[in-house]
Amino acid sequence: MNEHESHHEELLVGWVDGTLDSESQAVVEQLISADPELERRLDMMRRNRGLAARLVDPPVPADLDDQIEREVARPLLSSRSPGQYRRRSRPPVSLSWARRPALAAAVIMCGVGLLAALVLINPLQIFVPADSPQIVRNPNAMDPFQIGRMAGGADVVGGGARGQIFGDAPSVEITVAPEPLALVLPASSDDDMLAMLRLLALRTDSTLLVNASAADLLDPALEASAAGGGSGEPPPLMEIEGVLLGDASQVPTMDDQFVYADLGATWTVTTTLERFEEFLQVLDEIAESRGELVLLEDHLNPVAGGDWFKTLRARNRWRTWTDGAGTEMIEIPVFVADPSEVE
Amino acid sequence: MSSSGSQPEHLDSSAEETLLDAWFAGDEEVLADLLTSFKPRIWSICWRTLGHYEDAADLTQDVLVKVILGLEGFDRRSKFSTWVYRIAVNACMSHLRKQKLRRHPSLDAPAGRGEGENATTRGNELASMEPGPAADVEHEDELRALDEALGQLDEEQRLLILLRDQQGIEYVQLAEIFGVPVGTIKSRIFRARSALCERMEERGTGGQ
Repeated sequence: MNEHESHHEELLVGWVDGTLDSESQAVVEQLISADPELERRLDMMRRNRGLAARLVDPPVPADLDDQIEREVARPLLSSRSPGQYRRRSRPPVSLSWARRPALAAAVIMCGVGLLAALVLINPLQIFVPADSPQIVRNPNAMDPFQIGRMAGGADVVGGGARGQIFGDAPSVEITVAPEPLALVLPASSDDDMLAMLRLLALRTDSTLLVNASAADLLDPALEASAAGGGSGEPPPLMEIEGVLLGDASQVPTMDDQFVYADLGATWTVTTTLERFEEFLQVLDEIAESRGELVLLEDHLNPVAGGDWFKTLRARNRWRTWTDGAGTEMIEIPVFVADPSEVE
Repeated sequence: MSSSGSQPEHLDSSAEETLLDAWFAGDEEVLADLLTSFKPRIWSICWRTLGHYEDAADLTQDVLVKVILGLEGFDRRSKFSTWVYRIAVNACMSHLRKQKLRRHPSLDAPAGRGEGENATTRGNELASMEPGPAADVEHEDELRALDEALGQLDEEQRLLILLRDQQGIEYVQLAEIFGVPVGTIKSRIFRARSALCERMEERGTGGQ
């Protein structure tokens, strides 16, 4: 196509569209008057153009929105296989030693217990330097037997009463970060549960993950992964966290995941303090449409002996946390139970 | 714009920009408004390019998912609508390449392309549709002929006519979507329109 031909076509297109200026219009009119076939063809183009604007499409498929919502989640779900689980925000943990699962589980549980004991007893006062501001536990916080754990790997202090004793004359009072809550969903199929949790995570921009557990260490895929590609190669690093949706940097520590899984929570949802009120609102909406949900403050308290008690709608609790940093992470392991029995 | 029932109005550029500003400022609610505006347009492109209901539904879904997942990285150097149309056009062309479709199913072609007799093609869908509000009965035959002739064009020509003449997209925007100069787009559209006239004449429907 040469330049002249291209210009010619541009003019004719403009004539069909009716967008030519008077000078160009005159040029085309001259061409048309000399070529009746061209005139017929251009008229037909104009008519077709008018018809094209009136073409009727079938209605947009009614289920498109639902499909899209599922599809938006799918790319984030695509790495569910244990061998592909990744923890990008922290150095990967080498678990090659854990090929002996029973030993691994025992070591982990002992480690958690020892850590808890150290935190609670705190014999060396290592977390409370004398000349630093005392971290005082919120009066509404959990009892001293609660596993001392702060989200995001921040410093840890012990239970409520102990905190107040330590804080005889605090110059600066810092509210302790939120402890893990527990979300109880009605018993249903795993698919239904997962759908509900995905909806919750999507709507609240929170993170949803499958808790790593000792059982994961028995997974043949991980065994194979850990075995490496050749006899002389060191075993590759294994990553067993399953982030289904959200931010991989917001997953609980591996130890926490093991604890949650051991208590029976397959999943954990994490959100941030600044988004927690929104999280509660969405939770209420889902509860209205899908049945009762319960958010508990103290299911993780070993003193409770695994019983459910002291339900909490969490708003009051949230207000006590508002002094914390907005990015403070709240861990919410998810349990399956009949909410009507959770009292 | 096609007249397929009560479809939402197109957003103009400034409304698009306002919604985008809000989205980038953290208002996630506006995404629904943006998508609601584009959904019928994307659907129309996919439906008319592929001519197969189920495939078009899947591709519309793919396009909108790409828009949602890619919005964070949208650099706003072009109009939002240009970006969305480009995704849709690329998706359609890519889909057709993958399926190795040589031609659009005609109105009287058997439905299904090997995907079962219940598959819905544009031909049998159109045949079963009542005339839309804007489709006067007197134009029904012409519309049907045009639809059929469009189906016989090659994919790019069909897309160009749909985008320009059905959806009313400006040439500058089309040039961005297809990545060619405006003059080239105008020439291509002229040729697409010429080809459409020829197809209609071949079927004896090109007269006045």
